[in-house]
Amino acid sequence: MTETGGSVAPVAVTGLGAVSAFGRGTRPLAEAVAAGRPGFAPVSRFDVTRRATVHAAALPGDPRLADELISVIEDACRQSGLRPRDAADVPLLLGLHADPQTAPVAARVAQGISQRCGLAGITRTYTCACVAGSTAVAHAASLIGSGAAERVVVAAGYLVEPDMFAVFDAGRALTRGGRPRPFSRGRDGLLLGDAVVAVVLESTASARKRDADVLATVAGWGRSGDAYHVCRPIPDGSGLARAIEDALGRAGVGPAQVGYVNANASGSQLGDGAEAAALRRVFGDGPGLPAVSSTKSVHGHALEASALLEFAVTVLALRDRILPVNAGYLGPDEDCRLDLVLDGPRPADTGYALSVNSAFGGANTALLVGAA
Amino acid sequence: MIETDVWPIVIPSSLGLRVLSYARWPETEDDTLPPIPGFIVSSFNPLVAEVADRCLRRRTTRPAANVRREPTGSGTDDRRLDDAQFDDTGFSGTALDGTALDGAGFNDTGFDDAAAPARTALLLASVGGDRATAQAIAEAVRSGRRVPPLLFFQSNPNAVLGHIAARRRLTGPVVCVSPPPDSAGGITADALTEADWLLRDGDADEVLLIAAEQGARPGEGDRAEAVLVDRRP
Repeated sequence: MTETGGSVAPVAVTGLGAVSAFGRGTRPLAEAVAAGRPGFAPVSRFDVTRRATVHAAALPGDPRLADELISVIEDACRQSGLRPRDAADVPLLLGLHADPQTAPVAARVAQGISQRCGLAGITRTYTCACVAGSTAVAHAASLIGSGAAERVVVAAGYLVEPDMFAVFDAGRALTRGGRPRPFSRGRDGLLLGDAVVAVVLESTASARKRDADVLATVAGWGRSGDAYHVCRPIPDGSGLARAIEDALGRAGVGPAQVGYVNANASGSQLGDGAEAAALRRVFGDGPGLPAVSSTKSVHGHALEASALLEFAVTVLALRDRILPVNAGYLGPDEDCRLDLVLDGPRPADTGYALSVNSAFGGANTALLVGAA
Repeated sequence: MIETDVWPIVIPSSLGLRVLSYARWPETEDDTLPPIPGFIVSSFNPLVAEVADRCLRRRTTRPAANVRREPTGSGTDDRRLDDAQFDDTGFSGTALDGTALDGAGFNDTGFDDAAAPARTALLLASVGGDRATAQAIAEAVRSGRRVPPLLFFQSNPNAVLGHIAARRRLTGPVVCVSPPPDSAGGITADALTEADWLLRDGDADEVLLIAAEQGARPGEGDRAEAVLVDRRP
């Protein structure tokens, strides 16, 4: 919770850029998740003949991560109206996988965004796995909310590549059934997906002054740890529940005001069940549960970019007033009793939605998104 | 800048941080790294865990709730989850939940079940990250050899922080950052700034900040520092 213990001013989202398996731009992504149309196909980017799983949600060809990051950051800045001459003091927070390519990719991005967007460089690179992007958004919102920054750009990227594909395959984290089935009976693993995403966040006062188009707001945020296991989530969902409660508390928003949750669920046995337990801890176990879907069922798991991708999907859902589908569902699982969006997109009639994520190490984040 | 009287670390005066304890690795020429059950191949995870453990043990104002006992497991032991055992588990898609790891020693968290958790954030700053694990995965893929399944569980830096958090029951945020390459070699002002924000933002009461880098060659030149901070009264 914040020091004041009260609600904080919402932070405006004024720019979005995205690349996903569905193509470049946010429109193809929004259409795919609304329709529950999965983007999985056999991988052609590299050799998968030695792998037990061959599917992922990937763009055609072999896109370069740094180039795509520069491109989506430019898109987000353009939509936001952030001109290069005004961007020199705007922090950029980046989410990337931690490996020997982290620093070289970051250096190429820094050079590109300096030339094309006027941003001075990368302020910080987050490498905390599947919560990298959401941790960056939380920090950005904190910077803006406290007055330390007027605008912040957050970007994250992961493109399906041979090494993580192989190690996830070796660890049997990937489903061999060709598509993931979050929260479903018979779920048996995730599939990886491409995502490169950028958002521009700014104070509502700044957005108002510029007469900027506000897509949505970051109304609250929370981060917590399970303190339970190297990679297994705490089964009762208490860690994620604390992150959600902190996000709600920061915003001064009650659980009943939340109409949609974009879930972390990847299609794993214990992870999905623990997340459902967390949501029931916060929202109760009866009528009144918010609608829930995991759009990983459509765009796949984008690792370090997953949380920012799902935040973008949540923003688009509120903007378009359409709740995305939880695709791949085969039937109910007693551990995952939730109000899932199943048969088709559902009209969104809510002022608030949550984007929640969990990662190895028991890391949890919750971002409360407010309708514009 | 403030150089603390007790700890060999410089805290920018603009930050509202108080140092509670400090540790480094190595501290002697023949310093050693105790292995961690379930983690293989690389010194990175034992390095992070050892410097964190030293730092937490040295705090002089230990929260009463934060009681620790020694882990029951010992030794980095990939035999505990060998290939056959992995294949015999029969799980599907449960690997991400770690259910395959019951035999790997990851459950030897060593925490006291009766202890109340402490809202301590774990913040790991590393320019290079776990180079040895990344290299082992890349070499296996490039050569067409089988990828050791246990490398999946240490394929990102959060995993070892989960090990520390579980042992110590630390329930604050889990955050990893990659500072600019020219800042490698210790705790940087940038990492301290991130720690300061985690405290100011109120998601944690304390932050255990760890800076760790592996050397260019296995076992040579590894180094790490850790500092436990809270907000200056």
